Amino acid sequence: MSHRRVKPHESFGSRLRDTLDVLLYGPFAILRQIRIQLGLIAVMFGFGTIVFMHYQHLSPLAAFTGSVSTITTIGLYAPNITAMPPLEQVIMVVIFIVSVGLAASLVQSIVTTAVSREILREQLVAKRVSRLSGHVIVAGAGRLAEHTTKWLVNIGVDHVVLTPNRELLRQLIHHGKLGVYGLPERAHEALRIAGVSRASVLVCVFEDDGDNLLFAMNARRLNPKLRILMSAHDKSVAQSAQTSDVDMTLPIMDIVSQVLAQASYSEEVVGVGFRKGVNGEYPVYSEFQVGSEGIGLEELSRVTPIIMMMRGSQVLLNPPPNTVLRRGDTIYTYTEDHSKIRDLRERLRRKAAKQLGHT
Amino acid sequence: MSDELVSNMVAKMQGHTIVMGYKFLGMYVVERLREMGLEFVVLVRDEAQLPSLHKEGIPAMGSPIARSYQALVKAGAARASSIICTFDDDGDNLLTILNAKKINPKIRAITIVNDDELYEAAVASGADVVVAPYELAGQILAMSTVSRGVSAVFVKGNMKDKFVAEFTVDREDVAMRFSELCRLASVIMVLNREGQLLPNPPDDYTVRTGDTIYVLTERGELLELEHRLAEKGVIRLEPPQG
Repeated sequence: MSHRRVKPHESFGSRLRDTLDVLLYGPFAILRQIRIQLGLIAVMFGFGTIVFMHYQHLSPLAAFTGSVSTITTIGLYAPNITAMPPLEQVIMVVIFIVSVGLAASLVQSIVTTAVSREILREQLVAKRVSRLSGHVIVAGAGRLAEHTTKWLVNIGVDHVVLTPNRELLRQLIHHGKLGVYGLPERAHEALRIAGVSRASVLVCVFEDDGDNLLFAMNARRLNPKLRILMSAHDKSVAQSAQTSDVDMTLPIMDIVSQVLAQASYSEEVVGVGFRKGVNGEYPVYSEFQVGSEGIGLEELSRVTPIIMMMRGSQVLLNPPPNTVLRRGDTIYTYTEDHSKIRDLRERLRRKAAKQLGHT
Repeated sequence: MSDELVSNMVAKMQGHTIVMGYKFLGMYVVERLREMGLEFVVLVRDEAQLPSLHKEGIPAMGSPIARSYQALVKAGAARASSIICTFDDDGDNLLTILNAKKINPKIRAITIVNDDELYEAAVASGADVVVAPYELAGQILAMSTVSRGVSAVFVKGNMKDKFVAEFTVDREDVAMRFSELCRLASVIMVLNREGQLLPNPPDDYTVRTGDTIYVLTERGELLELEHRLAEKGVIRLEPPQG
């Protein structure tokens, strides 16, 4: 079990690193957005250099200076247009048109990146994720991803959400949380960006059980020591996942069905176990109000195991068998067999009815 | 099984359960009701599901949203003891409860809410039991990222939001008196090495390597509990990863 609950974003050093990221990595993030335009302009400079070298017989450095000067419209070098061969004129026109287009695109990209801070934020988040270690990765897109994340925040565990949902990612980043974009079909790459090789746990919570398996298998290959938890709607998938790469599979619907079915039958069910018990069923915990006086705990324990009781506001764990219950006590049972709940309820009801009859 | 046969079957049902929806959750609920030997009828929004359900011997009827009330009447809601709503759409579930309670105020209404913010709304609609599956699963999964012990969660009642953690005594040559162990943790039962469950072991019971202990705990205490048990040589903690 990993006890590390590192919160790099909360320490002074990390805050300093985050600030430095904005100052140093921010401009770099903008450069990344305009790298294609910058590359094409460089090509234009090179092309102009070759043209000037060939037609104007300039040295490489002078031709390059002339090319940059002409394309950037500084105009340090201005060959006589009328003396130019027609092909050189055509080439120069093409260079000018392409360069002006590229310059406009470049300005637009810089402005868009700087104004819409989303891109910058995503880049900065990616940078912060790259510094995490021993963290939890939550891979998913729907309600379960949101709930898991909410609980991880509650218990203070550092985590990154890996999601194919752009809107969810935008919201996460907007609220200062860590999230990265990734599609199930590119699970390998997405997990790598989420820092799977340094992570301690991966939680797969996609609606589609297949996506969960895909992420689990990829993650296992990338980090054999990773602990993988997975939700599954289909209990047969849960069973097969349990025998493969997954450390813990939670068959949500199967477990919830146990609570719902038991609740249709008894109002006493208050808790559910998600590991199958000795009889291969999910155990349920039930809460019974005692409505009679003088009933012995030992007698009730013969019906079903009574694990604890409440008297007033006091919880009594492992009450001794000779405990005599009072009206208003609450007893708690553990069972995999629903009929035991019915039997105990009947026993308590009969006892209460008998006492009522006597009075 | 024909529609007519299903109608006749349902007409004779008394104290039965109505299951709304038949996706994974509805399907598993039906499996469990069958195991428990309880009578039930399934209502589905998509009538195209009916032939396959009838083929499996499941009494099922169509319940398009526009005829939701009539479908409940036909399913014998007035005589039913409980209704379990498993639709994906919370609105459908709440509407069903309102209709069912109108037909039979005594019916026990059990529903899921996919959006846990609708929990109160479901209770206000008359639901007797409300389960938020995603909230529950999110809680279990999140707790399981920090501990391998979490094994059960209380969803209602006095113990709501408490957990049961399950630890196998995996240190070698452990022999600790139960009373001593209880000073370290709120142990509620022990599953001994022979697979026998001991709900209230006597104080002089010796907990040994291979036994499994069940501990009542709270969210904030889980990690501390694990470390306490590890420090006292009861369980082994795995080295941090990453």
